[in-house]
Amino acid sequence: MLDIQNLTAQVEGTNILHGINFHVKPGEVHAIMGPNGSGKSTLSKVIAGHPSYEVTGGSIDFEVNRKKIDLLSLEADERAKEGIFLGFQYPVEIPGVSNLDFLREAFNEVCAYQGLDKMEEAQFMDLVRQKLKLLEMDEAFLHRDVNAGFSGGEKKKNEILQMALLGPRLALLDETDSGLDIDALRIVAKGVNALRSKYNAIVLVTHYQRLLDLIVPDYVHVLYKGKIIKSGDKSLALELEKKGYDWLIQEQH
Amino acid sequence: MKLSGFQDSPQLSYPPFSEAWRFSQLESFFQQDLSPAKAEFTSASHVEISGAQTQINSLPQGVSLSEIKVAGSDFWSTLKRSGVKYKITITEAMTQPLKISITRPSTQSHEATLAFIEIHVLAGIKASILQDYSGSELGHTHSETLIELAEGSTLEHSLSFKEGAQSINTHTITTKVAKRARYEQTILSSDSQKTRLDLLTELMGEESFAKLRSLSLLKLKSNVDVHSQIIHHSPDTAADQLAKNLLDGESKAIFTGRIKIVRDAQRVHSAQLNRNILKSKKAHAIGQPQLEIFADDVKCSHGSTTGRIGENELFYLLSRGISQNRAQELLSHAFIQEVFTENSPESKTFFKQFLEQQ
Ligand SMILES: Nc1ncnc2c1ncn2[C@@H]1O[C@H](COP(=O)(O)OP(=O)(O)OP(=O)(O)O)[C@@H](O)[C@H]1O
Ligand SMILES: [Mg+2]
Repeated sequence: MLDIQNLTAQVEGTNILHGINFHVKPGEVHAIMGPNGSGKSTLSKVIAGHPSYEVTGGSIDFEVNRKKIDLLSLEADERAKEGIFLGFQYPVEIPGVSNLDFLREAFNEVCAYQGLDKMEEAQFMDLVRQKLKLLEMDEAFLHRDVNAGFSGGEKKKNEILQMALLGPRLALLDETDSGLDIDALRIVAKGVNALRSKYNAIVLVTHYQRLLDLIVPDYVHVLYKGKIIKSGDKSLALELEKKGYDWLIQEQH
Repeated sequence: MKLSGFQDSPQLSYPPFSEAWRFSQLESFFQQDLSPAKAEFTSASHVEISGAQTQINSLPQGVSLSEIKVAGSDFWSTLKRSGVKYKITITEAMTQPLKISITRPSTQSHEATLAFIEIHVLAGIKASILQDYSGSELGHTHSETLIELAEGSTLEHSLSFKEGAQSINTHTITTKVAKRARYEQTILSSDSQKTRLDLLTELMGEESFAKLRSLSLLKLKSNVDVHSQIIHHSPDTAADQLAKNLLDGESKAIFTGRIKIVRDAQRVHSAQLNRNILKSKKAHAIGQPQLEIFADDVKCSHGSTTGRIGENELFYLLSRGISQNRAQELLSHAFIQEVFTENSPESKTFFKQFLEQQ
């Protein structure tokens, strides 16, 4: 589904990613871990198409319904329409745009692109309410401006609300667990697990095992200085939890 | 400069443009002779002023109106003495907003509408005024609006300026806010060759409050120059100003602002913020907010920001599948809406009509 070869990228003239190889198949859950500043968010944003990050080499292919797409040739909105979703580490506040209008705009554009008929308002509201319920969110959040004044945890839940509504093929969740209380973590995990199917894949960027207890990954990767230095199964995360990153970094030298 | 065909038709000497006019060089404009634009009354407003004439339609309950004289022999006083002059007094709670239209259907650049309006809101009265300016492509409109809010009164003052892409306009709004009175001003303006807005807001008595909101939406080779002064004459007064510009094409917006707090006017809260978004490479903004404070126990903030539509906001919308154009539209819309969020439904409707015609 996602096929990243030798990806290098820079931002404002600084090279951040130094040759990433990363492959995801439908139905899989991958966790990406790694010390602060290693390039995890950069990788997520490059996949989603952030215009500030310049890809200097390598390729990203994305395959849905046996159709292979060169992601790098698409704008960010086109990637989203193809089914890529980025859950932001720092969700952006947009005062002046209501959450509901935002959800509707996004939903309609994605549906239209995928050749689906525009959904009736009542039906759309039913769907939104169903997703709110899944995430145990109050309907009042719909009528507030996008993320404006939301608490850290509320912003993260709002990310998962958007994901649940858009039903992406590939969800890249960048530290969606940070800032969540114990109940919120459980609720968010429930939201993410609801998306899991043999057609979808999930990439979790996280620092903590506690998320991986709830959303169990098939593979765990460690990113360090812009490279994946180790991949393994879920036991790698447990090992990292116990031993930290030092031993892996030592192995590098 | 000669005025002919107005109520008073004097010869005027060269206008005295002070330092405060440094961004609006209108000397050459004011050297040409002016004559009234042909009057045209089409709207359903309560008070209509056009060229050198007025039409008063039935006024809402609680509103009285009389003609007035203007004294003074300086340039601006003479200019306004020549025009239409009315005093409006709001004596009772209004059942509906008072609508004032100032129009200028001119076909030539020397045609003008000159209007002078005094608005008095009596003690404890809550009033709402919708004041709209419109004009065809060419010509000049000069207006002065003088507002006095008596103790404990409130005025929601909504003003829109749509005066024609080649017009040159000068407007002054001077407001005195008495003890416990509240003034809420919202200004929306669009393209013109030059529009100079002089806003003087004086907080005269304790617990008086002024909220000033303005937004210029410019797309052409336009120029708007907002010059604002807020003077806190009394302790325990508050003001909050937000002056925004959304600039496209080759437009240019200038905001020069000043908050002045007189000696010993303590416990004053005052904020002045200028925000500009440039949508094109050739658009340009200048923002100069200033403080002049002679008291120590005050809370003031001022600032000016100019930039493109935020890249992070834009990417956030794009990452959800919203297209570039639509995302730009949504963010522009959000920038615009912030100005009106707290307005009454009548005021919102008034501005909505304006925006829909944009
Ligand atoms: N816009 C930018 N300008 C300059 N440097 C940047 C920019 N964005 C990211 N970087 C740098 O790139 C490196 C990788 O950052 P990134 O945000 O991808 O790290 P991360 O692995 O997500 O870290 P964390 O675990 O703290 O979230 C950091 O050193 C960061 O300072
Ligand atoms: Mg990060």
